[in-house]
Amino acid sequence: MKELLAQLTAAWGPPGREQAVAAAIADLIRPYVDEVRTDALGNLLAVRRPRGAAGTGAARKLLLVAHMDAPGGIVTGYTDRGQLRFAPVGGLSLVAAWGQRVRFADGRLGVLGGEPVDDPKEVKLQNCWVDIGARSREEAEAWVRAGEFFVLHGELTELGSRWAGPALDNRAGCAAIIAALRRLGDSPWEVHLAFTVQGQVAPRGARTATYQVRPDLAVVVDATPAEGKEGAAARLGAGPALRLKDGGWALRPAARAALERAAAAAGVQWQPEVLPTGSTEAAGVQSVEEGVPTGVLGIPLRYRGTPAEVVDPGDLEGAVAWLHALMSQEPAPELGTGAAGGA
Amino acid sequence: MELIDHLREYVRRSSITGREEGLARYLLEAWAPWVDEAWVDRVGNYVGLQRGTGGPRVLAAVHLDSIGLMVTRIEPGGFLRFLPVGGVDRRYLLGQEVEVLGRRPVPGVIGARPPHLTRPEEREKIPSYEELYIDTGLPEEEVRQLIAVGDPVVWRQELVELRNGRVAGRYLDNRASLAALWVALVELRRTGHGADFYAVGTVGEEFGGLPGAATAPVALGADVVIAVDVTFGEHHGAKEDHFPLDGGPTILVGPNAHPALARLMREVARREGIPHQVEVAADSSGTDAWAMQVAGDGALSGVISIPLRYMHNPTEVVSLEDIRQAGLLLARVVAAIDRAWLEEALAG
Amino acid sequence: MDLALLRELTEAVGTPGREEPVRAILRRYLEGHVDELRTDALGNLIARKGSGPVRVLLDGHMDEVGLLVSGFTPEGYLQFKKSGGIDDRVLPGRAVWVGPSRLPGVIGLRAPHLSRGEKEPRAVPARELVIDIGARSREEAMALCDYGDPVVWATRLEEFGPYGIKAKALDNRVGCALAAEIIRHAEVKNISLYAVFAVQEEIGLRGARVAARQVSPHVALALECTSCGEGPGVSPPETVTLLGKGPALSWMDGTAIVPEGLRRHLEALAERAGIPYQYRTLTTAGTDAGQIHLARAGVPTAVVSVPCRYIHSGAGLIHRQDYEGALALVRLFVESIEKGEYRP
Repeated sequence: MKELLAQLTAAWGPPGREQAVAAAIADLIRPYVDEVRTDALGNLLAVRRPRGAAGTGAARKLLLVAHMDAPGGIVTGYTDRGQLRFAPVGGLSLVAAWGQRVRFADGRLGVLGGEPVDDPKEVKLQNCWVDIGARSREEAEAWVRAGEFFVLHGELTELGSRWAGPALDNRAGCAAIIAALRRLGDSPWEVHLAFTVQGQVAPRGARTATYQVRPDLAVVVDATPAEGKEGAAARLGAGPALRLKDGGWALRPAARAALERAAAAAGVQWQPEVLPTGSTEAAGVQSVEEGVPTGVLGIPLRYRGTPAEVVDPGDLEGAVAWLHALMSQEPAPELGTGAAGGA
Repeated sequence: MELIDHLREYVRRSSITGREEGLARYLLEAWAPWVDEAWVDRVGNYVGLQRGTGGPRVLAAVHLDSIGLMVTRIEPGGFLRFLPVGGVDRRYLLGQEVEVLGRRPVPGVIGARPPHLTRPEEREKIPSYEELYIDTGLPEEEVRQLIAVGDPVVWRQELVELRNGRVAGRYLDNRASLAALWVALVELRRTGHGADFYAVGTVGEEFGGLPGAATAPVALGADVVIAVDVTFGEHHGAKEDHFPLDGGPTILVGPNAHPALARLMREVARREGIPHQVEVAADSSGTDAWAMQVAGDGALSGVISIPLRYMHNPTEVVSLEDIRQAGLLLARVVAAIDRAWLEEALAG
Repeated sequence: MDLALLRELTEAVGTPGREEPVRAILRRYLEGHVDELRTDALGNLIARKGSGPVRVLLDGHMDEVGLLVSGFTPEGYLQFKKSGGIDDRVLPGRAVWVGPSRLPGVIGLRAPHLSRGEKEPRAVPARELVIDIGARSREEAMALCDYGDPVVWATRLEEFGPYGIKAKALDNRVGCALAAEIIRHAEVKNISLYAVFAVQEEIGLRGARVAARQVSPHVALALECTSCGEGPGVSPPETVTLLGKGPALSWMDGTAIVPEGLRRHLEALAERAGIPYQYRTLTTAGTDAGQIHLARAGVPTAVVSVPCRYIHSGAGLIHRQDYEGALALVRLFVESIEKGEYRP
């Protein structure tokens, strides 16, 4: 798992520029799926047809969704002293990124910084820049074009018995799906995987991916903020989280039953999560076309939007076991009850 | 059963967003005499179909969900912490009686630090969610057996009859509209109609992106979509955008209503002598129509609303006559929609 | 450029949900020049030319920010609500047109002589303002206009110097005019060219959402009028765009990230033809591209904008050459797909 995570977190992929992540994931999953392709917006979509004693008739479709992108920024202009003006793309925290290294697509490094401040509250976009070591505007213009994107730079390291690194939101989610897929044997489902673009500014890629699959059940696998004070927030190390409600979405009975059944089958210890704010791609997935029963499986994560996000291997392992059980189990009878009724 | 009996049954089965299935299942039974076919769809919407004699597909949506609270933690001593679901106003929570929908409904009261421990200046303040809790009076062990994190909490206020055909109670937003939809079903069954009429109870209007309204028109291929909801009733101290009780339902004018459908509603109301009022919204109507209008390839949309006082309080007030007139207006509008009208509305 | 078309379009009354006068002008302009012309359930006007396998969509939204009549006072004044993002400070002291027939009215502000005691002038909230059409009673006013009637600034298009064009509603009758001019004169065999004149952009990109689903294009351009913050003491990137520097290409905004390949193709076309272009340096706000790119399985979508000073006020200002540049660039873009030089 650590190698997988290290590989995924090293891939460069701000929102809208996820090609390198998609390429890395495609190589990792190709041996385990029947089809893999990239769509018009850059989502990586894969299908694994049912294996084993599948029932008669068309198989039910299960869609697992994980966004590939990580927070970053875009260069919007230059200062006369050769620094880059920029704007955040996705959930980049200026305070957290201040003084950190950033990386452009070609590997060039920069430092996100700005005018000296005593109080983090004074860190504002207007007084921040990215310093690429250029001595003049001309030099800066020659090195980095306006419109180029960057991500936070860092690498995955061990932190005691846990892991710290950039982009774990949501490469951890991608890794959990990949790991579950690798050990998957028989499955009655037609399993669809969507590694989506622009999850940082969701719902975008997940919406169009869902349109192409039209699943009977969708599960969004995403990092979830740990140790929050409000509501019922996840705790790091207490297992993957089943999200019941967030700032703009509520879990409904059909998806809940399917997920709880899988957790019980795998003996996964999970935590319920009720949040006053925040959202995931589920808010978009649930409303595609005639609607999709949708669940959110959260991987607790600390220090989101920084180059040192922290996850717990146990939580990840729990998510893998949970997803594996979900893909292996018979589709729940409650799914689609009455769905075909009427007209 | 009379109108008020129907209303009482709907109110009794109210729950928060995400937990609409009880009410949806109840409608399968309760409305069976008035629909040709009914089902609960994959997102949890109730759908009842009255077949017409050949005409466009008209969908009327009434949301089934309500605002309320969700349990987030069981404290030592069995006290329950919670968060709001939907537009809850903290000002009426202190001392409120509630029902926790656990393994069985458990009554409780909402408490905070008692008055003799609070300073006068604190009493000017409304306690935050961190300070409030629900006390069920049960021992902690029993609370833990009966109640889990995520369980819904609803107001505990039965329907009360006031003077002049007005009623008060919890969740008349949007059970009043559900009763109006029933009135329309009864009326349309009596008069007959050309359009295929889909009576839909939607999930997720009060909170969470209108998933029911966003999907039902696509699943049903609706040509015309009408949201029936409640709007702000005139009351003591009200300023703008308030409509008197017993003045009849409001008809929406604005971008969320297709001009041709709004025009038809006003013409039908005038012709049939149905009292009505005009409500203007410059962007969202704040109803299911906002999502229904742009679902799929888009549909002609309109909104009919019932004036309601003290919206989102546990003691909302409506007039039974407004409910009846809203149902009647809906029925007459649906009956007036045929292919020729639809074609004309789409021309130009 | 067809200045007569732009004049007619910008002087029409068309707030979100009440775009019928704009639609009528475009219908008249395109009737007989396209293969299909229809209005959908939201009021989007959708034109098609050609029936080739590659579907190309050009979008320009018809609605403008404005007001809606929401009530009548006993004295005969009209109460109103704002439709779309309008700064309250650009309302008082302006002449307006009420309804599609352009009934004249004014939004008056109490005479300054009567505002004694107020040291620093404060912005007057829109809800304290009314429209005066000269009516003497509620009944008279109600006979002249109706609930929901659109209200816009009474602004005529004028040429300011050799290049300046001043008008209201340049956002986004400019986009409508561009799409209409291009599809009317386009010669296509290998592609299906669609022009979508969308409703309700200003209140949430609502028309484009359903129109794009109907068309299901392979590639799309949102044609827009975008902010230009140029003025004394403002320098790039805060200016967003500059007047006269050519059409603006977007990297991203609050609703969409433009695919790099598509943007580079537009840049290459402009460079080859010697059309100056610039980048829109703001990464927030939104356009119809925000919904078009999410239609069905997803659509690569770029944004081409004409910079406009004083956008969302009664009098915007654009540069003729920016319009001409956008027109030429979008034409080249359509041609490049028609000729198979670019495959979406």
